[in-house]
Amino acid sequence: MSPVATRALKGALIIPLTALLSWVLVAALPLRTEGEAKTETLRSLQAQLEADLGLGQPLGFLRPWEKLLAGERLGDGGRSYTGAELMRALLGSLRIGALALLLSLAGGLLYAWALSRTAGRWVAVGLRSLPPLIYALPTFVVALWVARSTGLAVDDTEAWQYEPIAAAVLALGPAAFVGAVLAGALEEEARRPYLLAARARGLSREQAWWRHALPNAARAVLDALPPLATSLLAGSFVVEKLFHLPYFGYLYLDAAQHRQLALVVVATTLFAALLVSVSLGTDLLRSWWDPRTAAAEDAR
Amino acid sequence: MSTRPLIAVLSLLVLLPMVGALQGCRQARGARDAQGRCVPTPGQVRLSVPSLPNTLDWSRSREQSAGNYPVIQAMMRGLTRLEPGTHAPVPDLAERWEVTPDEAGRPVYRFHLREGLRWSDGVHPLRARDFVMGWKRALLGYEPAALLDLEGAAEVLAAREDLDAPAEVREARIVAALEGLGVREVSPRVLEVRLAGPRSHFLSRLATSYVFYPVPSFDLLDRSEQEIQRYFDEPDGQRPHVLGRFRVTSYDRVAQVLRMEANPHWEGAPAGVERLVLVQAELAQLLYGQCKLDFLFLDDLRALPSVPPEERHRAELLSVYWLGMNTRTLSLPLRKAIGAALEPKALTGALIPDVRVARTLLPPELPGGVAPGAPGTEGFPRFDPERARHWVAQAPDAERTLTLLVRGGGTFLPELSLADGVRRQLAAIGLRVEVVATSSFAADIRAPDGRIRHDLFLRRTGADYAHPQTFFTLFAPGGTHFTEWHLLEEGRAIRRFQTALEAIAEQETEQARTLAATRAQTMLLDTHAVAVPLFFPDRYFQRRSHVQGLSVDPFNFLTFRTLRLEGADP
Amino acid sequence: MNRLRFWIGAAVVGLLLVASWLYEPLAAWEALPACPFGPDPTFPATDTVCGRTLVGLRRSVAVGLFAGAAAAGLALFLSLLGRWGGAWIDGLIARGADLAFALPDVLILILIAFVVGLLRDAHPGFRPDALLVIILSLTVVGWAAPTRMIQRRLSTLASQDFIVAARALGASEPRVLLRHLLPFAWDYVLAIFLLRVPATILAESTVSFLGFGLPPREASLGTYLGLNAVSLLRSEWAVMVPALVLLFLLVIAFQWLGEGLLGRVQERRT
Repeated sequence: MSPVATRALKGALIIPLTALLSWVLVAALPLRTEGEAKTETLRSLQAQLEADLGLGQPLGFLRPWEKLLAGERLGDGGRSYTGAELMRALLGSLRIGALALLLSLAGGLLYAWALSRTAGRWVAVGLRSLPPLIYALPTFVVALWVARSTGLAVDDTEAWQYEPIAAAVLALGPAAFVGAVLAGALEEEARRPYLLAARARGLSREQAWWRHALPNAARAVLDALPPLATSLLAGSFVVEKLFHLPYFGYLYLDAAQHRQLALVVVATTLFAALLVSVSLGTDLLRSWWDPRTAAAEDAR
Repeated sequence: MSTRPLIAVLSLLVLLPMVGALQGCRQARGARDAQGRCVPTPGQVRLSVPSLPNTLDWSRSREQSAGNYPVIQAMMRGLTRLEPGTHAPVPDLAERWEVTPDEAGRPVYRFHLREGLRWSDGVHPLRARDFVMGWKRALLGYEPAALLDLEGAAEVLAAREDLDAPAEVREARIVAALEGLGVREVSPRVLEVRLAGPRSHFLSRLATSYVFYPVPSFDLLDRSEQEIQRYFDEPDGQRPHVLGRFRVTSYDRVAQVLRMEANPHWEGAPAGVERLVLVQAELAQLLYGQCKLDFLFLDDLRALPSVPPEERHRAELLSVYWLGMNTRTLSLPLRKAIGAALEPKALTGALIPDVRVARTLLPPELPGGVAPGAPGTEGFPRFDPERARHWVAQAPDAERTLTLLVRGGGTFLPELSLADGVRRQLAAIGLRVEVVATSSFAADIRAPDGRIRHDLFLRRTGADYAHPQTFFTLFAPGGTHFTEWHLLEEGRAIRRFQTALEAIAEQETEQARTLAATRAQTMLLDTHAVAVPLFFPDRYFQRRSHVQGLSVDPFNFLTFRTLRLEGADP
Repeated sequence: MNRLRFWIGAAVVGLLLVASWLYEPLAAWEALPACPFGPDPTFPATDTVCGRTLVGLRRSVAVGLFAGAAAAGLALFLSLLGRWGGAWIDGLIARGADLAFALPDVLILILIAFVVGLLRDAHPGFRPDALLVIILSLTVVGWAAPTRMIQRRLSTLASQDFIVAARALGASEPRVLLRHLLPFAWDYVLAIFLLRVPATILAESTVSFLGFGLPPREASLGTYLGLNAVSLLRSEWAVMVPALVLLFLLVIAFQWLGEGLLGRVQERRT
């Protein structure tokens, strides 16, 4: 079996494991239904809710999935969702995450390029001190500040307009990270003899930078790509909440805040599946870009 | 290779969100006229609500359902409605009714439905059987307790609660019990309702409790229970059919947006409102500033000063905010001391403007409520530090550190600050209090053995209908009063209270009801010192001046009853 | 340069801590002017913005230091365990760290908060200290990266001559680890711990901002910012800006502290 397939299989194992684990956790806890009502909850209602969650039944952990497949709603009332709605929300978060990834790579590349072209000493010092400063700004602070001036989406019809802004806010920190890593790797490359040889053979500084230094330095970024991509997906929780984008992060925070057991179980599992596939996707990208390093890592 | 195009593309990519942000900034200023005022969208009102419905199926509604009321009451109506100001029940779907006692002296109501009422399909008339079907479904739903006034309802509930019986036996018993329920169609326009006993609150309840609303039975008869639930919960623009002013066209639960449009067969004036959009947004104030909302609740009282006075409104609620005391862990002298040590005005002064201090548990303007200082209220708690110290000296348990449970958030009152104020006021008479904040009040207040484990707690209780009963339900047997007072005198105290409640239900006249309700309040506030009323909360909201009549009703629900847009034909 | 950064970072952190510890005794002293930023919006009767942010700062630092130390300590323990237990265990720990690294911190922190909330509901006697819970959950998410870094460092050290010599002289494996290897890894571990602190402070402030961290009465800087986010939107600068500046300074200072130390360690190595 190819190493990538092995890794895919290992990764895929996480999904049922998450499903089972999260449900067992939920099932191990007694269900409390008493709310703000003026009279105590009826026993029959309690029993009904438990049956709905599959609590106390053999193979009860499949119950939420069963409901999902049957097109029924998961969760309680207004915060209940069908499988199709969950997928729609997941897709929204994925869109923001992907755009943010693209933006952070582009931003990082621009930064590294700008740094390599800078002649003035003080400009370079200024540029170099940018990433740590950006890194020290939590995403939610930036998002709040931006939302102050751009406003936020009022409903689903406006959400798409705010996706690029949200992605840019989300990408700011990772772009600084990519930029710093890339700039560091480029500086190291610049000292290598092959680059001097290439310049000696008549390549312009620009050409040498783009054709030789950058592809080699990009490896450092590729290594960091899987955790970067997954952290962007999770980071979308914050921007979705602040820009009022009704996607997965928004839904997830809401479900956790309102103790929607079945929903949290299903959503966690779906999210784990998404993370595994994204991480696998970036892995594949890496082995396509740089087969040697990837193979060496698999052999380890 | 030239690098320019690549750099250009990269720069463009990074610039793209900036363009988006600029577009956002333009939007952030919103559609405004030359004076900088927001330009309204014709026929449309957009509102932010704290929560959206958990179901549109009014017969099967859940109890934790604050979000349901505004929407369902915009869609539907009851047999009666409450007259603004007096809160007295007057005819709505029923044009009149008569009451006659049956052979056992129990009341039998005959409601005559108004002529010409049609469901929103414009074809089917409202019929008495629509009520019969709705009430029977409701009795199998999540809020069956509300229907216990009906004859035979207790039997249905008992059959439901008999979980030990085999499933088929239980089913059969439920079906048989439903047959005996005291509601039937006499003729298409006459509904007969038999009550289990005298219930003076029944007509008030019909107005606001949506489990008493009819259902479009012509559209439901051939559907299974699951299909019926889907019928209500997945609105398609036409269905569910309604009798009210608006019908729901779509409900997107992921986006938390609910859209309504005017019911084309509503017999009242359209008043210029064609569409309502309800959203649940946390940063609603920002959206309002962007001209994207026409209405929002001002639950963060710090925001009040920055709201232009002509857009700021206040609704007085039939609701009370009170301090509950655990009668099992606190001695009577200590409870009395706490009652005399609290000064509600100082407690709320800096936090809530123009606060209405509570000296009684029931708001005075509630039918059956009583004004402070009226005969019979002499022993109710009032601020008197001398007396408080006198009681503390007699309390054997004044040395203990008391715990005070309070909600950490999620209400429209600054509860944490209020709790801190209670702590300081009690410290002034030498009592030590530890404030415990919780995000799940109902779960946290009980110990594993089911007992209440905190000494004090803060709670808001609102009326569900305009009658003392709605407040007293909480303190009756089976109520969630959390004060353990059902254990006092081996249960004799709460049984006397139950008798007092029955006495209220039997009173025919308003005056007699007030007297009986005052006696019941005395048991809670004076004799047993179970609770200390603090104040009657108000709800603040902001709305654009062209959106008239959009308001919050005394039950703390947004109401569209009198909504009209400026410039519409009156 | 590294030395300078280290000392500047140390000075800022020290200054902030002294300010936060001195605040309470000083606030009781009536001769002092009132807080220029006004009363705290949540507890206007008892607290000021100054008090809430400075005490919140202390909590943020406590979370950062304890969770950072726990994560670095756990990482060191696991790395040593891997060295001692052989290639198989070392590999297992490395794979585990990779896996944990792939899961986003915020998600795991929210999940832990969710489960703790459920447990609290189910067992009302279960009332864990919120600070302890957040420290423990940050340890759970924070061990992976340090573990991989320390593992690599140890494996580089282990191939050096003096370790090979020690083994050849017959030293037992635990002795090699603890007496020969560890002293050389010590400053590196310290640098990793210091770098972990700002990351932890940021993660804590994010989950607290989202409402899954410390409760309002025991607010950290993140909780405080979350509680008052609306005031920033209303341009009430005095409420938010002090906390924002403190958080920013704190993170930068710890970063400099850690990077300065790490730089010196690397300088010494070369």
